[in-house]
Amino acid sequence: MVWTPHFGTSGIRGCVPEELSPEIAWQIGYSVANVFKRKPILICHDNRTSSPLLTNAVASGLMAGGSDAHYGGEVITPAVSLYTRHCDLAGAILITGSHIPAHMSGIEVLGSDGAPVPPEIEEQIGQLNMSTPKPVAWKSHGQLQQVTDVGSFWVKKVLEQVDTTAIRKRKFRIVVDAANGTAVPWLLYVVQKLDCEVFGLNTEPDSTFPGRSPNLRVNLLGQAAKLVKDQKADLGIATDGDADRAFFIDDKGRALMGDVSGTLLAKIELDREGGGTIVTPINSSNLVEDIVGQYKARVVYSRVGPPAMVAAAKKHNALFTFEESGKIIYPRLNFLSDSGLGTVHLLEYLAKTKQSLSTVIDGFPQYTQLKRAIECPNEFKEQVTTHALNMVKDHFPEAQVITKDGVKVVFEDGWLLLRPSGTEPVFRCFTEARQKKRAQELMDLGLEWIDDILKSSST
Amino acid sequence: MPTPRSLFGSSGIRGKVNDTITGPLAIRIGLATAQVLRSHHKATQIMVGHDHRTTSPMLTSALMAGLLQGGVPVIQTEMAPTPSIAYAAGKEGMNASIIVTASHNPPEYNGFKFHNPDGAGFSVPQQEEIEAALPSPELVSWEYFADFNSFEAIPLHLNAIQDATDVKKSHTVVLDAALGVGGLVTPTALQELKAKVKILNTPPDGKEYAQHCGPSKIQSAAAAEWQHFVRLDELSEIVITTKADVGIAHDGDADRVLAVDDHGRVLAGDTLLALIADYYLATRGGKVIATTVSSSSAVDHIAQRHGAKVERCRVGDVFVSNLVKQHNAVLGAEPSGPFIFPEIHLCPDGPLAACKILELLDWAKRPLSQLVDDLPATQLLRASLSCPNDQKDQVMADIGFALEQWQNMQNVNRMDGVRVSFSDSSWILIRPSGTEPVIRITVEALSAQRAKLLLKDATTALKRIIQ
Repeated sequence: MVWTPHFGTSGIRGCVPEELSPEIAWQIGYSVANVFKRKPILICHDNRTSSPLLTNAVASGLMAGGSDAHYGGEVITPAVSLYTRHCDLAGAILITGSHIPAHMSGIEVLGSDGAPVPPEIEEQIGQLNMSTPKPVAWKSHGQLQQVTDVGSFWVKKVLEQVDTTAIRKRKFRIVVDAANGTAVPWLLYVVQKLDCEVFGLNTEPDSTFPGRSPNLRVNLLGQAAKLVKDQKADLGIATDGDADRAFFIDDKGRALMGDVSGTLLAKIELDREGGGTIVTPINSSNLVEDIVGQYKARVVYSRVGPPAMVAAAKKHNALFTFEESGKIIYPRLNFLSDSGLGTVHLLEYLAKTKQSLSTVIDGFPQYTQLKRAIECPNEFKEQVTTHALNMVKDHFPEAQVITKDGVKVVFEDGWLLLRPSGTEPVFRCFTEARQKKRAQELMDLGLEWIDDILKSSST
Repeated sequence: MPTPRSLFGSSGIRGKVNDTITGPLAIRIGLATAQVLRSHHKATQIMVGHDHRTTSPMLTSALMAGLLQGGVPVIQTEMAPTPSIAYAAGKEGMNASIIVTASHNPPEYNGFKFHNPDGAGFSVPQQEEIEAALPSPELVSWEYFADFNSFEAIPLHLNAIQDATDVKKSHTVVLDAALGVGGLVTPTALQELKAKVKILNTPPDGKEYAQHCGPSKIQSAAAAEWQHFVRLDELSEIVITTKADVGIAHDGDADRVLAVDDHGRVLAGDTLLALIADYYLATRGGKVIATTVSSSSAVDHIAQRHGAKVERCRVGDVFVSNLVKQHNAVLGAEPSGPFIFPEIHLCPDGPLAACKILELLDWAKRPLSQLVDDLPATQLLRASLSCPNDQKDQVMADIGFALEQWQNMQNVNRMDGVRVSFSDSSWILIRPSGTEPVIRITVEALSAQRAKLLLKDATTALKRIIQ
């Protein structure tokens, strides 16, 4: 069998069955069994229509490769990671399209620590095919085992982290917008266990995602924000399709940017621990510096995306890591983003400090952030980067330059990040400043540099 | 993916795992079956189950992946006998069932049996539809991908068996489940009929069952065939030492049954067929018994006695099931051990047959050994010769031609292989196996001497042609 689609960084994603067929899923299961030396592997999935078929195909491949398939059913992504790490499994296969459109899906492989396997292991999984190694003899085929407690283990573990009595006393009124995703029953169960009064939005699991996109963006949360105001709720929680990412809405109906809520959760961790390291990618708001600066703590910047964040978090033994996309990772418990852990920690903080979420946020320095994506053919991306670096050197020699991922130029009163997309022919420009005007100035500057190259190439 | 010219044999699709039978093939079979089902039914559902083979869960999951991709919801049963799954599928209103099993084949084999809701295996035209869809099955859009659920088939089957059987006296039975799935059903079914059951070789064990067999000292065609999955000598001995009324054994997926009488003698399938036919015709009336070209004329003698007829068809339970349906027969069976009781369903049913043996004893009120001894004596012998699958057609053509030249030949029947009958009512049947690379010879005559001679001559002729 020829296997063309590439299994690489973050597993594989594509349309089912054109790009991600059951045959490819079978092959991935077969390869994983070999790479994991025929040890038992947990397999779970989200609520997409393609999940049952892909799960069966992966499970079959695992068994053909000699691994027992521990079938954990439909559960949220963070629960799979948590279970794998704390229940001594060799690894897990996660079938989820996360936030991508409903006709697509993906397969991700987690190691025994519950984190996505490193790139070299992914490469190994992608390279194997049916002829290498030799098929497993009939006697050594894996068997199927049902695992029924992946979700309930997550609920228990999440609730264990916080003072549930304190939260219960507060009798929170909460809007939950679960994007008709896999999270619905689990997340509702957690908040109901905490005696919260729940106002649900998109809380019917539906794999066609009729309510809103399974993606998570501030501008997708208008309905949820309105419900928070209408119901005079204390806060709103919104998740993506598989509930690893979470956004929060304050009691004034403001949907918080991912780096604002991330910074707040970082602050909560620092309050609890008294200090430590916070990891975040270089496109996060300066807000994190302002807040973390108030503690015996430091911010370590990583490249954009969870693999880099988790690698940095492991290296620096970080307390917490977050991304503006809504990823919130508590490395001591779970190397995948966990909307549930974020939610209970936020509730506990609000309960114990007796504050409203809006008061806390209003206490934060305000920043304006701007984001633009400019079409830019892949072959010009390097030129844009070089040009930007030259322009900074020539015109702003005093500015700090970070080249970890694209070009970030940090000024006293704001910053500018030019970053080529890894997946699309697009160059992204991010800016941030206290003053809206300054943010716009920086944006204009960044767009001009990109334009310089695109214009010169077209003439 | 290259697909073999014809995947289907006489009992579904079967082959060696990692060789012809692989996960990707199972996915493809599922997708093709889904297409065929959707073309016949608006809203369709299928039941899928499997036996105890180590490779069965792997193939079941792959098959389900294909069915779900093809938009057909799957109800998945626990590990269970073929008749339990086929029965539950009909009872639960499924459009079909697929059972992952290679029945009695060695453990490196596995395969797929397809059944209709009435229990009958898929007919040749139905098999051909699936084969035709295999090379490039239609894809369905993501909105129509299906989901699966689980269901317990065995309790339903046990209920049906209980409703269909009635035994007054308590009989003692030695049951050899051969480490197969029959052990999940038959012990309970027999116990509900007040039987005292000594159970050998349970629960099912996908690794060990293959070891749990061995050459038998017992010289008979039945012993020769069943020694590949049961330790017959052991069963026979335990029947004698425990003074049991009967010994019963199943094959791997329990669609077949074998009986040992109270003297420890292994009954030929033809003998058991004649006895159960006698009981059925006597107690239920009915005009027809359905069987295959390879079965003994013992059943014809019994049928005559009751003024009934024997209808014959090609070897294979699919054909017997259809024959039962076609002629409204009271009973269908093959000498290799499948028994079809149409009052429940048309799937060969080992556990039900085991219970019917107890009913037979109850009705006859005599030991099984006496019933056997009272049957008209005929001598039936069987042998088989290895022959590669790709040579079978040529060999069969040549042997057919050779047999037609024999002296005293009265009649040639080519319904399945070549069956030649002689004026002294003896006959020879030579036919290629549908599941293994062998050609089988069956002969029957009134005297042992004549039977031996016929077998020797037929074997010699066939050997010459194969070489």
